[in-house]
Amino acid sequence: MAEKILEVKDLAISFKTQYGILHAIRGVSFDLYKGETLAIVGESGSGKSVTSRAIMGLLAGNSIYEGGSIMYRGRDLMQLNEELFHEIRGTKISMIFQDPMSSLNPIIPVGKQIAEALRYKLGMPEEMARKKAIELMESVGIGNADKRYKQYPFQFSGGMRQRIVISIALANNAEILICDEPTTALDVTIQGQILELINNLKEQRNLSVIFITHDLGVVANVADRIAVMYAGQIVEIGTAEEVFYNPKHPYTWALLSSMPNLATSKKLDAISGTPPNMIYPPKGDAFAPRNQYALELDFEEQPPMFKVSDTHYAATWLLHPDAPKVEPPLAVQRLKESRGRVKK
Amino acid sequence: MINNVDKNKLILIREDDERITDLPLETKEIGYYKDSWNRFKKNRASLAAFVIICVIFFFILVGPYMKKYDLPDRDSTAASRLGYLTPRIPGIENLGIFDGTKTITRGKQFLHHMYFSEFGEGIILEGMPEELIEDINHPDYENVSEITVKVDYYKYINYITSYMPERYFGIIRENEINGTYNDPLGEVRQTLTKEKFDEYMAKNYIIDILAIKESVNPNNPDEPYYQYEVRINQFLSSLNQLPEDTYFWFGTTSRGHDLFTEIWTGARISLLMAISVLIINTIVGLTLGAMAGYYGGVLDLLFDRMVEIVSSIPFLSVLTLLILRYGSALWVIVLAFTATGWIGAYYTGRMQFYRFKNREYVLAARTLGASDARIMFKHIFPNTLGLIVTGYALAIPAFVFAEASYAFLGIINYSNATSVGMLIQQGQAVMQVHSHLLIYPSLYIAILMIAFNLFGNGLRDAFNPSLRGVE
Amino acid sequence: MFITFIITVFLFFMFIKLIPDNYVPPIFQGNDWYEINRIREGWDKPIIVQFFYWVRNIFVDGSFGFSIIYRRDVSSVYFGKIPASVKINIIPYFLSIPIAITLGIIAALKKNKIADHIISIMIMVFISVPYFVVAVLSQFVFYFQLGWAPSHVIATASEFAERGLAYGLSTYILPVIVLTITAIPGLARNVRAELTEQLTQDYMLLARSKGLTRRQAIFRHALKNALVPFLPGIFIGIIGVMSGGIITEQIFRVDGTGRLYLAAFNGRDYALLMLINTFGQFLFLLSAIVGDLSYTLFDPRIRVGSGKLS
Repeated sequence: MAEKILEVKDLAISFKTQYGILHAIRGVSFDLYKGETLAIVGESGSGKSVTSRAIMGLLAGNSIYEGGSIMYRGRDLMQLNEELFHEIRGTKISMIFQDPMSSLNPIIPVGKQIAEALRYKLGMPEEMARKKAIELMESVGIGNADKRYKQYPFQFSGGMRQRIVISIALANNAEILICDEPTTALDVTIQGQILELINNLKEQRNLSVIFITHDLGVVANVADRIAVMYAGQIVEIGTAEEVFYNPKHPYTWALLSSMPNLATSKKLDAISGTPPNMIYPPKGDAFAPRNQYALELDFEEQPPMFKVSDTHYAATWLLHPDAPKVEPPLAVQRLKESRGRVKK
Repeated sequence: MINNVDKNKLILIREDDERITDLPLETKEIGYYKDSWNRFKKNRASLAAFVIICVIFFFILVGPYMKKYDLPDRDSTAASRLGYLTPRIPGIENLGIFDGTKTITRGKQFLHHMYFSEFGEGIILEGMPEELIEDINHPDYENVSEITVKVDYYKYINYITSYMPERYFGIIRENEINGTYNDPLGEVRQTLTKEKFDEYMAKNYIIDILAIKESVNPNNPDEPYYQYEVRINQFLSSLNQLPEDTYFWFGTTSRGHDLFTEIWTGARISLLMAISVLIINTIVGLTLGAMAGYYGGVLDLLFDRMVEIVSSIPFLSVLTLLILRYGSALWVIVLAFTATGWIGAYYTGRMQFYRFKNREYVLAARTLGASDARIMFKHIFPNTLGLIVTGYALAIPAFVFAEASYAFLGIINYSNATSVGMLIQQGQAVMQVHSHLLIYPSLYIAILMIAFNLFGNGLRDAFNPSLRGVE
Repeated sequence: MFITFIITVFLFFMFIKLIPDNYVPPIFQGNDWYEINRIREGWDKPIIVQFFYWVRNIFVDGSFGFSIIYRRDVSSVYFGKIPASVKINIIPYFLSIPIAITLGIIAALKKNKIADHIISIMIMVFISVPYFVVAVLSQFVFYFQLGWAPSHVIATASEFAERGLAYGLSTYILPVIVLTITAIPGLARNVRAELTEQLTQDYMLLARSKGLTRRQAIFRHALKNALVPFLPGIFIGIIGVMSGGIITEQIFRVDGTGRLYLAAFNGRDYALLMLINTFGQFLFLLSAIVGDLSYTLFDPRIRVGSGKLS
């Protein structure tokens, strides 16, 4: 039984904006087990990035802590002051970002940027840090690391840069790696390489990975468990198998239906409407206005998490014992059927 | 908790095959100009600056006419007698500022005489020591030859130009020592013909008669020619009003011009020049830029070379060489500023034209079937307008700044016009004794420049569409 | 660039020669002077030829022409005044840069708080108000009204001798302060803007998540990136120290190159003007070269070029 390495409970965070208070996260709970990859899926604005920033302690200046906790090794990260957080960031919990070009400082050689992590956190002397940095570069697949140490970010391709960012993140042997849409800015072919790299590193170092994305295709490749977020809340969470082949929340259905599918020539099912304005969080289920399967109760009261199995939960009134039985849409059913044919 | 729900609500809202449509947008769309205006309004500093600029413009328009004072044009000698007066504003004078007073240091004998003379009544306001009032030769003040007092300066000037010059006692002493016969009252002694005398008498200009000289009239031996040597109340004769009723809001210059008027006149001139320069620059620059952008190729390269040469010539050189050649007329200055000034507009025009040709949203608009004119006006123009307006707002102060600086240095030297820079230079020369000549023009320029810069910055931020929605 | 320089100088030359009163011989010199210079500078030849004569004279004799006012070669007049200009410009230059950068940093880091507002207001005021107004008003206030400064102009050489080094130096205090203060706002404002921009960049986020403290991230990354655009300007500035500000020298009675310009202008000394303008162009050219060089030095993107992609 794997140990829980991170426990997020009822996290709520808002932001002060000129138009009002934006309720970005409204009660998010999930656990991260050692050695697993948890994917957090959702549209833009669902709050997934904010969650990751909260774990890193890098929330923007206008953020308001509304409640909840993030337990890591017995300490609540939300209560930690900057000094203590500073010890965790980079050494225990690390993060990589979406756009590798802008993540790296354009006027400092990449090798130095990697070595910086080593020197300033571990106090390594310069020469040792340099050697270690070159090792790291090689371990993420950058050839000729010796020469390339001195080169600048613009001299690398997108995929290469992302590898460098990964090596920076793992320089200090972090336990938890948060990946915030790391492949979104890359070509599809390179995406595969990076995903493979992350998987390999995860196995080598026994990492726990939180993988944030809006791309379900990517998720299928990497995730052990999946959490689906909408409007600042987790609407469904379960193992990858459960979420893909037995989804229970209408939003998950909609997401799965809207994936382009080579098997059929049916029209693409886009989810109409837009996510709600989180300055005025809706009463009841936030997805209701766009939910094909909305119940009247959805507009009045927020559904709690219903248990589907020990590892599978979904927050929808449809799971209420007295709710009408609905069949998930065609696309989802087809996915279930294709289960047998899919190799993981 | 789950069991508390109203089971009746657990029914599907929508039909199976009902399609959900997008909700109509609830907010109104805000056009570019409205959005810019909103952003501008929020910037309080810029708004305040805008108000200040409007006030200044008002004075530039109206200011020179506010005071009816044409004495310098009518009679410049008389006007120069009224030089260096301190500022006085009706109403405010009772508050102790702008009250036309001045602290001066003069010979004790002179001041003592003034204190007791009838014409000098009410001039000295403060500072006259009691001891001296009683006795001019008081032992305490034996070694003191000069005293500092505060006087009503208007009356004081009237006194020394009409009644008794400051050097009166000095001349008398010189005469004693050197045996000369200089007239101590020489500066104030006026000689009038009988007609003039009668006229002035009737108007009450005459203070007193010093002498009447009789001489033979060649035309009519029976009627002698009378000449009257008199002292005239200068204020009355030049302005037809007493010193206490005379108000120069910012005081007067060395030649007796009203500083208030001069400042606004100079401001008006510099503003008109600024606008002319801007217009010429824009026309020349945009045209050349458009040509370069439109035809491209060789013409563009050629212009590029030309621009490179022109832009490397420092403005000062152009200005000085032109002035040396053609003198300091207004058109020369305008020419100097436009000779290198059109480059900015050139780049803008050229840039806009390239955009016109290549931008994606232009392509998009074209694909959707927009005509050329529509593209120009709805897509390209708003961008350009923002640039142009901001450019203007910042170009005007730049011009005023430059013109004032060079006028101050004396490089620009109008023969028949004023410049605030020249005023400041004159003020600087006498700042020790006549500080008002320095302060008010300086204040004017400082306030104008600060206001314009704030305003220009506000405009730039307002018209910047990338700031839309950003706090 | 060099060609532009030559063309510009030639244009100056031509324009000056075309000014009608260029040939009036000074009365006191008589006709010999006229003859000598006529041959030397080729006054009766076409302008292009005169230009070549002028250039030749420079390289052969080291002579730039004859000054009407000072009655000797203009180069000795001009170059002799450079030290005075340097003396007054050098301290403000070296002082203003660190102060401006510091203020810009403070304003950017404490954005929208009191410190930033104060600094921004000061910047706004001093950038707007024309320099000569500031200078003159400071003379007025600090010398005439408050009596803090020993004099409103700087000491002449004879005054240095008479009243001692301490007095002489003390007269420099006011001008140097004024010069420094007016030089600060421009750079400070730019630094503030650039640093603010850099602080919001993505690489800062990575730096923080790497585990750098806020402080470390700011100084090792944002600041470095923010200052790069200004380094060329700073290098160019050192060249500018030689040519004094005309306004400063006029107001504070510095006997430097700026004052000389005015004298040449008022006295219609064309040879001198020619030299000053040419030298100014030359300095400009030098600055451009230095600027370009320093760009390649400091910005690796320019130095290394597009580089090798893998």
